Formats: sequence, structure tokens, C-alpha cells
Amino acid sequence: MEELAELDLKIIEALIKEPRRSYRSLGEDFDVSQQFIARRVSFLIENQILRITVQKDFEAAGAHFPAHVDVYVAHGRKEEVAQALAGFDEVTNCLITAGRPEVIIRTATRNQKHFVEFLQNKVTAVEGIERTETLTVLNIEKYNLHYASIDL
Amino acid sequence: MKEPLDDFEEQLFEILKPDARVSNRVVADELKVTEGAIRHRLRKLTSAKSMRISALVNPAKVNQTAIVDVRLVVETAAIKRVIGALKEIDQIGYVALVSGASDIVFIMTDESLDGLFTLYESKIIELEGVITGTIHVIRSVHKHVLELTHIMED
Repeated sequence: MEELAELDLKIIEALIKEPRRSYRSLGEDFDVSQQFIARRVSFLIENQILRITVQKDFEAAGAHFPAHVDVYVAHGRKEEVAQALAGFDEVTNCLITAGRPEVIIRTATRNQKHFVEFLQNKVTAVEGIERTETLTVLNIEKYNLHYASIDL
Repeated sequence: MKEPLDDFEEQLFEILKPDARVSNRVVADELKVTEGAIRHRLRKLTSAKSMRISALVNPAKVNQTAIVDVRLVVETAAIKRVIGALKEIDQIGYVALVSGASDIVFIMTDESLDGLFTLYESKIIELEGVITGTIHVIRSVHKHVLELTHIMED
């Protein structure tokens, strides 16, 4: 893949601020044609560098009980455990760490009851998990995550 | 409490999901309504903070490959001040007040782990009121649901 030019990064930055901004307006700002901007945006999207999409708020999606769960896994089984956990609808993020806990998941459940059911019925059924530790989210103070693994 | 999307809004969401730059006219034709109706509904959803159009960037493709998940235990009286300081740091994209073995969870992203460790040691662990902290280095991401986010109130 060709390397990203400085202009590509500027286009990305501008689209983060205003995702539906017109190519004409971007072209005027960066002193290039709108066709050039369109080509670069297509390149960024085709190469899974950028995605312009819609996102729903957790609450609007009915997920009122966010939590982080640290998952301690038996030696040599973190990949299979992560794969099993990632398969659950309640899991929005599944990360493998370089140490302990071996896996961290973020969950979005309807309420506390739903979360407890998820933990007791689904997580405990995954083989290879030694124990879990939960941090319940009391308040999200900053959420400015433009980075996302869009190529998964 | 934010209202769930109605059936029409869910259809709108599904159309915009693969490419949210598609014009309102195209969306209107597909849903058999006027362009104005689409514009109005999008405005309503975004101002209610129920939905947003986002540009998401793959960190691996723009040299933001270092990701750490950090937990802090903080003196109760200092929690608000520490959160305020963390929110000001550009490399931190997510901060949550939590209940459990830690008080605050946050996520930092940068070009290198060295840069993040330096930031942690020089600016974060030194914040007044921080008792202890733990860094978890993220080796790989197995799942990231793109369609859900937290839209902050202004």
C-alpha cells in the first residue's frame, strides 16, 4: 500500500471534525480539486484506513449498564477465550493484553440484572477462564474515540 | 434518558451504516420520503445525541499502534480533579469513573509505548491524589462494535 501523504492526514482530520463535509469545500481549503479529494477519500476507505459511518448512543440502543470485565485466563488459552467472549452480543470490545488479566472486555447490557445473567450464564460457561473482576461504569467522563479497528 | 430509535430511524441507520456520506436525496429515494424529512430526522437524532455520523480511523494504518488501558486508585476527594486533568490529555480518548478495585479507567493511544509510559510516569501517576495505577498494554483487538458509541452531552 502506498504511504499516506500529509494531505491524507489533513483530509482525515477534517472529516473527523465534519464527516459529511463536501469534497468541494475540502478541495478549496487544501488548494486541490474536488476530484482529487474524492480520489483520496476513496483510497482511504478502500484501504480500510477510514470509514464514514453512523453510530448509535449506547443509551439510545437500550444499553444502560456499561462495565469493564477483567478476565484471568489459564495459561495458553487466551486466544480461544477471547474468541469465545467476542462472540457474545453483550461484548462491545474484546482486547488481549500483554500480561494479566489476559483479556479485557467492555460490555453493554440493558441493566444490572442482564449483566449478572450474562456473567453467570455465558462467561462462566467459557472454558479456560480462571476468574473475572468487574468494574461497573458510574459515569463516562470523556469519549472521544475516533480510532477503531475497522478492518476486523 | 435517551429515546430508542423508532422503526423509520432504524431503517435510516441501516442505510447510512456502510457509507454515511451518501446524500440525503439518495436516502430519501430509498425510504420513499422527501429529502427534507431525512434532513429533519437526522437533525433531530443528532441534537438528541441518540445518533451521530462519525469518521473512524484505523489506528494501525496511521501509526497509532500503542494502546494501553489504565486503572487508577485515587483519594476520594481528588477524583474529580484527577478526571479533569486526564480529560485534558490528547492521548487519552476515554475516561470513566468506575466502581470496583479502581476508581478511574482510561485508554491512551499513541505512536509508541515509550511515549505512553513517559506520559504516564511524568504527568499521570504524579497527579496529586493518585494512590496507585496499573497499565495494561493491549496486544490485539479481537472485537470492536463500531455502531455503538457514547455521545457526550455538551
